[in-house]
Amino acid sequence: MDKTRDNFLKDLNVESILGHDEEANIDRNLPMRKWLYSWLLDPHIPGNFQKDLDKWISYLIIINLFTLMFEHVPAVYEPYRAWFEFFDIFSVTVFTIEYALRLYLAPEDEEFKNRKQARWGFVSSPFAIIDFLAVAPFYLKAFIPIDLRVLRFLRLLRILKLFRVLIPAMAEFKELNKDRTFRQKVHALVFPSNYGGTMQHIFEVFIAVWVLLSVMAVILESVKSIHYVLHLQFVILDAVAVAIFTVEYCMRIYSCVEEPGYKGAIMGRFKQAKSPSTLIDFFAVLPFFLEVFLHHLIDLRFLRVFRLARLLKLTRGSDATAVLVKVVVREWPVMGAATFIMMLLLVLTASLGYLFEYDAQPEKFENIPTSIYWAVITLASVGYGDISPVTPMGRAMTSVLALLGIGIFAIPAALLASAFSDELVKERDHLKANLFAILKDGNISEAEAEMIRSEAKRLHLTVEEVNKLIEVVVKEHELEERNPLPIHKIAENPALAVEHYKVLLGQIRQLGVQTNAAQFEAAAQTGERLSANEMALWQKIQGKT
Amino acid sequence: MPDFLYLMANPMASSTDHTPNSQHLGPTTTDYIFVVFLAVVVVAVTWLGIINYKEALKTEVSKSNGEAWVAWLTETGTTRFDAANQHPACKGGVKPPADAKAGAPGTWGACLAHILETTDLKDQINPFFNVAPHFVAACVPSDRTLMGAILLEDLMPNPPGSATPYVATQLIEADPIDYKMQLRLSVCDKGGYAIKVAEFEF
Repeated sequence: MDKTRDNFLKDLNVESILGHDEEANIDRNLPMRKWLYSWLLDPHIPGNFQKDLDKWISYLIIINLFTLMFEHVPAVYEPYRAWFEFFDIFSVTVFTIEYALRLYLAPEDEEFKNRKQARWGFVSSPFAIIDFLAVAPFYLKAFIPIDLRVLRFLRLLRILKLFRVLIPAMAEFKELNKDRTFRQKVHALVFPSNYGGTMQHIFEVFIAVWVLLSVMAVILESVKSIHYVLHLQFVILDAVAVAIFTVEYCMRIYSCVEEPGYKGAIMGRFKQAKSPSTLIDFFAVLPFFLEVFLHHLIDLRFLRVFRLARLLKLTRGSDATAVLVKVVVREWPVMGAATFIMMLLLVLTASLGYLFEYDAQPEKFENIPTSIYWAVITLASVGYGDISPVTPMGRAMTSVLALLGIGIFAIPAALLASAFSDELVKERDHLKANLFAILKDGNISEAEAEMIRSEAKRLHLTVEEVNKLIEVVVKEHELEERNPLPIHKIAENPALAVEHYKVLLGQIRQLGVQTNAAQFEAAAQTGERLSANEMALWQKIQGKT
Repeated sequence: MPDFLYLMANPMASSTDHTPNSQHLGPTTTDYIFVVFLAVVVVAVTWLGIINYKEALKTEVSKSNGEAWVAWLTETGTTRFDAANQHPACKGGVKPPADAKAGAPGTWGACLAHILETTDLKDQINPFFNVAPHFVAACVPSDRTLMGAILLEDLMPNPPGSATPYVATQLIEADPIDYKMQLRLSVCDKGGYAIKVAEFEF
């Protein structure tokens, strides 16, 4: 049985189910060009470097765009001109190598290999023309004097290289949504679903990149020297970010009625609008509009800090925040009680502090509210030292207070940690139960694999952990097979008892068919292993009487 | 039935999968309204962005005004103690009388009047009000009339060991400029906050 289980687990290949680095199975004896194509450019071989290559080229294109933007800021460009030029040379080198590689490997590409001139087919393809335009200006300027502005505009064409990733994703999205309405397509793009595919992932990454950019801009704006130089750029960046986030917000509100639990044109959308994640989206853009419309009435500069709330947009994709909220809500009564004790201790301590210290230091312990500040700082073990007791009674009380503080302030933290851990165990048990149901038929379908994948990702489980979980589930299956329900449990249910009786009869009959009847009877009579009644029953079951 | 079992039984089914076969799949009137609304939103945000950009440009022009003052004062500051100084009204080493009034030789008032008469700085425009920028004692956020104004401060060093290295006071017209001065020039932005342009010697 153990061997069967081991084979099952071996066949299962959890790594491939979880989509972890599966090593590409490429024959070493392939011709050089074919071998190289299989490793670097073939999109149909899982585990090769094609996706990585596309990813890193995309990153390089995006960084190129930023460098191009900063080249327009003399205060940034002039001191670091050499670094900008070095980066441009590096980018062009990478893009040229990529172009040369694609040209060399074109005869292996399915798109071109059936053409008479595969390489010419590649050179004249739209993607190759874009690739060529991305590097050509760099080489051209060596021979022809080109105006710097024209050169920068031509370099902007590098962004078109991103279409290599975008177009296949768009085709996939179109295919997944071919029989769906416009609103459902919008929904598939902005909400995670079975219809989003790579395009939805790109959309999420795009929003995340803009969130990080705008938050970084808010942080850098507070550095006066940077703000002085990049003031206009920050204004433009904020306007673009707000435009993107506003469009995203509208798309979410419009298509949310496709989400479960959000049906109804008005009520569904209202429910979506007041959900925490959508409220965050709303508050992420609100400061911009308030500042534009109300700046002449009041100084709304303080609102700019609230743009940092955009960072919360990133929690939409994270389940950890939802778990934390769930834990806090669940533990709220206990935490409330702990907080109450804390408050009680705080007020008591502050009052005693005021009582003991006021006479000695009236300027520091001038009233109970001031003493509350001292009590909080002491209880929380922060101890700034700006207010400290000087009387013997005050000092004695502070010593006790400091010791109590460690315990009292630790209670909510310990409660939260323990509840968080419990929640994770629960979630894992839930996954285990799911796995139990999935593995009942002994195989894992694509939909089941997808479910395992998403759950493992959500719970941050490694391949080894999922493997262990599956092993436990398989063991439980075996135990269930070996030891069906205990007899007293079966006896509780008459229908089940009848079925069990029939199974037992069937097994006895099967035994009678498979064993040698003469030898069985001889063995039964030897030493009176079976009584006369038992023997009679045996024969009756076998249909001999 | 747990939702995962439902999804397993119907791999492509989801809560969003409720399109009846007979449903019209092309864009509906509501879809068109949404697209138009989205376009309006984009145009509106772009328009607001342009307004913000234009306002930011005004701050940039104010900063340029300040930078021009800093450039002129720094350049003049290197030669004003020389005998062959081109701007006698700003000459260093000319001690004004103790009860000197604004405009008396050796005071900032005399130098300022000279600058506003003879240099390109006289042509500067405060973009917020389309008038020449004026010098103020401080940038005050509650006072919107100070937008684009220039704040020129004399930085008087404190004795060593002080909590702050210097005390900044507005350079007023009656102040003497006979000694090597450490100045700080700022401009008031749209919100009435000071943007430091530079600290320099004059």
